[in-house]
This record gives sequence, structure tokens and C-alpha cells, in this order.
Amino acid sequence: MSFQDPLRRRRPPRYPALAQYEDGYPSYQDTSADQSGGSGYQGFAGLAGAPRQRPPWDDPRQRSLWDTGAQQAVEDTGAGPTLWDSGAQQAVPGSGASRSSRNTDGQRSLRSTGAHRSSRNTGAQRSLLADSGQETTWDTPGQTERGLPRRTSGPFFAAPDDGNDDRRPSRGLLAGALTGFLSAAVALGVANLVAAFVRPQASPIIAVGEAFIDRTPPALKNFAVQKFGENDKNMLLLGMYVTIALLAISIGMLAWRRVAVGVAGIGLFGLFGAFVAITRPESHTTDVIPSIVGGIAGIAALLWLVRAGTPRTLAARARRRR
Amino acid sequence: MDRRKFLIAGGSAAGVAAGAGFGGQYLQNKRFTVNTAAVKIGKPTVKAPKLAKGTEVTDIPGLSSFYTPNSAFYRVDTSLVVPQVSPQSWQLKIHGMVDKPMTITFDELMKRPMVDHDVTLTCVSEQVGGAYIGNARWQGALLADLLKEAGIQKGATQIVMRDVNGMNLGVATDPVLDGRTSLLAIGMNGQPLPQEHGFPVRVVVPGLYGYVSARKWVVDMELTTFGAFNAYWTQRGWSQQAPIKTESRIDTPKGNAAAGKVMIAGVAWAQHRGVEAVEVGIDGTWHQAKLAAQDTIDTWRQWYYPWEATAGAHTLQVRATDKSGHTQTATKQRPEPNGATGYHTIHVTVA
Repeated sequence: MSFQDPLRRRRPPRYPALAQYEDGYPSYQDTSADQSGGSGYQGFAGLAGAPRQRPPWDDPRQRSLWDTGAQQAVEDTGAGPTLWDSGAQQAVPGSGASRSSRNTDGQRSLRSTGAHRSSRNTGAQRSLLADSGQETTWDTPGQTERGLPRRTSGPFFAAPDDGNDDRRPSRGLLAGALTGFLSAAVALGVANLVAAFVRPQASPIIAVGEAFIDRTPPALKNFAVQKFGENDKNMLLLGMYVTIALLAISIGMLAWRRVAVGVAGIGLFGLFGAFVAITRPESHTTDVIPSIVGGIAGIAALLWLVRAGTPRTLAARARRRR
Repeated sequence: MDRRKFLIAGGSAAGVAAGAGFGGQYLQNKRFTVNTAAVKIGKPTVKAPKLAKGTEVTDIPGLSSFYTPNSAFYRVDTSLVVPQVSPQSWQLKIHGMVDKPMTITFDELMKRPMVDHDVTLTCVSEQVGGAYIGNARWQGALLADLLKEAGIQKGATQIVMRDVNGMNLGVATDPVLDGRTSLLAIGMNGQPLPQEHGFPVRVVVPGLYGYVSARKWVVDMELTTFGAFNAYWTQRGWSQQAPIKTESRIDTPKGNAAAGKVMIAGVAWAQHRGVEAVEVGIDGTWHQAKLAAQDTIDTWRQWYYPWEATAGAHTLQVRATDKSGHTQTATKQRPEPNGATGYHTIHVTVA
């Protein structure tokens, strides 16, 4: 079985070529522009034209400031190079800062020249990404290479995001979709099981479906009755399952970037089901139980799946943080 | 390895979801399904008269049978899961504008005189030529007698009937009490009511569309006025008064036929008025159809017309006249707000 994130391969490199900066440090250069100058910041690729401020991490005047930040950050986390994939880590023993710092929450020193230097200082000019097969010797003076190293442990997974990295492409979409879908399935399944001990009408899908029937505009109801005849109820259930699946998949994709979104999404589902169940005519207070328990089960499944799909080293980081 | 871990977790989650979902369904069925066979409906006190000869036409292929089997009877309601009501817990509360509010249990209901009566039920959503109609022999207690015991107060124009889930239908008091055989039915075609048809007790009022009268799983009747309470379907734009319109349907032939003798046949209904005559229109010329014998005026009547079909395309129509002399209108109307009208028209190619 092979999962391939289709978005990953097609995406062009998001970073402009690295050129050598006049003072010996690397800088960004628009490859589409005239390269004869070969020095100085000329704007990000594709965005040439508008005058841009030199990014602080690229500005020699600010470098000392950013350097300090970078060093500080690397020392603070102590995470070192273990965050992403151990293959890359071994390939560049001393250059962890350049990668780890980019992965770590709240470290504004992401593109710090200090980080770059730290890796250059080791003299390492090796692949940062063993598994991508990309040779990224981006630190050699006079040499221009495309792209910063990608960081992922495979085509399928990306870590739940730290949320402040705007470069994160849509990796892990399939895993996120599966996570959302399965979490919702667990929620509905468990709710249905619990409803067997409350009453069938307390099952959220039934409660919401019957509430929907009551609120169906007459025109739609007539259309359904005429189009589907006595299958109208099955068509309604089918429509509900499809809608829930689509919503759950969206929630899962968001959850892959931010777990809290997933927890909130599934939780809202559960609360909605409970609210509808208890506002049905002739409902009992106990009718909320299936939705609540189902929602909790769905959240548990979501967290479990996100954790299972998270590279181990990141999980280790999360443990350290606690 | 992360992918393996994820796939294991995903597979487990799918297993949990399927196990809990289907297991829950199994348990729900097991724990809540009521055994309808446990109810013995017994013999009716007032038996319906034996069907006159020729009431049931059975030898025309494609023609609806006079009695609709329970399994084939149409079902239109708003319950996503069939309510399960045990006869032991069933109670009917009669309250509102009555002198003596009362509650009756299933055993008490069964002790009342039981009446057998044939009634054809029709759904208001029935399109011209549609299938939301069925005829059955219903067994039950007379609803009017029970309501009179409770003492209906003057001015109570509407009976709001609620099922076990609180879903309400509102029916005008007058037609229920005007002497027609309105039943609190417990039996259908000699069987206890099936769950989908309201077990253990439902309401059957001849001559009214189901959306006002056919309260399945009934547990509550409130006497009130139309001004004081807007029932479920009237809130949604359907009429308060819902007498079933005189209508008719061609069951056979369908589509193609071989030249020669072709039997055109179908059913016609005008519940509580009775069908007087049926005419078949063949390419614009009307012919009198033969009618099966009348059972009660609350049932449909089968009809047929032997036609010498010639090759070519033909248009067949049908129209019924009820015993009040009213012939169904050719004007086409959608089901809302009080029932569809128009001639059922089909096109047949004879080869």
C-alpha cells in the first residue's frame, strides 16, 4: 500500500535560490532576475518588482541580534537535530540548529544566518534529507543551489503543525482526511452503541435526522417524496452520512495542522447532537448521553490517530515539553 | 515507523467504529423491538359483512389486489426509526376540552367492542397515478364512542393526536364524530398492526387524508380548536380540512401492449362517498368501465374495460364519478395543499 500526497510532488520549490552574499553569508536571490550581480537581496522569487525590506535575518546590521536569538533558541530547546528524521540527523551531525530551529514553536530565529553558520562551521556539506534523495549542499561559497532542504519523514506524513510556519505545504492531507473520517465514524458508532442503552431516538444521527425532517421546507420534502418515494428516509440518511463525512474530513485536515481545531470540531459535533437530541419533542434528559459519549470517543480517536501519525521524534519533543 | 503506527491506529479506529455502530444497531433491535405477535387481536365483536361476490377482481394481471398486503402497504411518516411501543406500557390520554379527561390502557381498550371495517387509506402526497394508497381490513374500537365518554365540550373543533415521539396531527372533530367508522385500530388484515403501521394502536378515519387522521403509535388526544393549535402539517402549509378527493388510476396496461384484446384496469376511490362510475378515455373518447362490486363506501373499487387495441400509439385516461354525483376534475393540481387532481393519463404503444 502506498500513500502519496499528490500535492507534494507537483509543488515547485518555495524558496529562491541561495546565492552567496557579499559578506560571505548566503542570501536569497530571485533566480528569475538577472544574476550577473549575484549579490544582494533582490526579493523573493516571483515577487520581484515591489521594493522589499531585507529580512532581518539577512541583514548584516541586524545579524548579531538574530545570531544571539538563534543560538539562544538552540540552547533553549536542547532539541538539537533529532526533531525530524534521524537519517538527516546522522547526515549532518552538527547542523541540527538549522533544521530544529525551523521546526520549533516560537523560535523566530528560523532563517537566522547564525543557524546557517552553525552548520557551515561544522564543515558539513552533505544531504540534509537522506530520504528525499535531494542533495542540498547549500552552504558552499560561490555555489548556487535551489531550495532549502525539505523536512519530512516521508511523503505521507507531516507533523501536526506548529502553526507559525507559513511555508508548510499541504502535506499530510490524506492522513488528516482519514483521521477526521475515522474519528467521526468512531463518534457515531459509539453513540449508536450507547443509544442502545438509552433509546434509539437518542442516537445523534436519528435525532438530527428527525429534526431535519421537521425543518425540511415543504418544497424539498415534496421533491424527496416524489423523487425517492418510500426511500426518502434512506436518502436522507445517506445525505447526512455524506455531509458528516465531508465535514469530518475537513476537520481532520485542519486537525493535522492544529490538533485543537480537530478537538473543537468533533466536540462541537457531539454538543450539537446532544442539543438536538434534548430539544426533540418528548425527549428525555438522558438523550444527551449518546452524543456526549460519542463525541468524547471521537476526540479520543482523533488524538490517538494524530499521535500515531506524528513522527516519533516530535512526540518525544512533546513529552519533553511537558 | 510512523506510517505503520498510523495504519494500525486507523484500522483499529475503523474496527471500533464498525463494531460499535453495528453492535449498537443489533442491541437496539434486540432491546427495543416489540414483539407484535404477542398481541392476540381476537375476534371482532361486530364482524364486517362477508364480501359480496365480485368485490374482489383477481384475474386481471397487473391490477392492484382489493386488499393491500400489510408488507406492501405504503408507509409515509416522519419517524427515522420505527417507534417501538409495548402494549404493556401503552396508554391513551384524552384531555383538553373534555368534561372527563381519561386515560385508557391497552387491556381496557381490548375489552371494548371491536369492529371490523374495510377502509382505503390515502396519503395527501399521492400524485395522480401514484402509489400512496392502500386498502385493508382494520379491527379496532370505535373512536367516537370513546370520545363521547370523555364528554367533548362545545367548541372543540380540533383533535390533536400525538404519537409516542410527540409528533402531532390535527383532525377536525366533526368528521370523526359524524357517524363514520373512525377506529382506534389494533388489527390490520387479521394481524396485529405491524410496527411501521402504528403498533400497538393507530387511528383510522375513513375519508380523510392520512396527514390529518392516520395517527400511528397514538398515545395522546387533545381536544382543542384550530385557533388554539396549529398542527404539524398545517404549520407547513397543508389544509386543515382534508377530505379525500375523488380520483382514479390505471394499473394496466403499462407502456406496450399487443394488438387485440387488451384489458384496461385500475382502481378508483372516493372514500366515504363511494365510487359510482368510472370512464375510460381512449384517444379522447370516453367509455363506461365495468366496476367491481362495492364493499363499503370507504374503500376503493376496482374497474376494468376490455379494449380492442389497434396498432399504433394511444392515449388512455380515466375519470371517476362519486355517489354524490361529482366527477373528478381534469384540472391538474399538485398535492399541496390538499391533494392532487387531474386525470391519470398514460401512453401506450400497441404493436
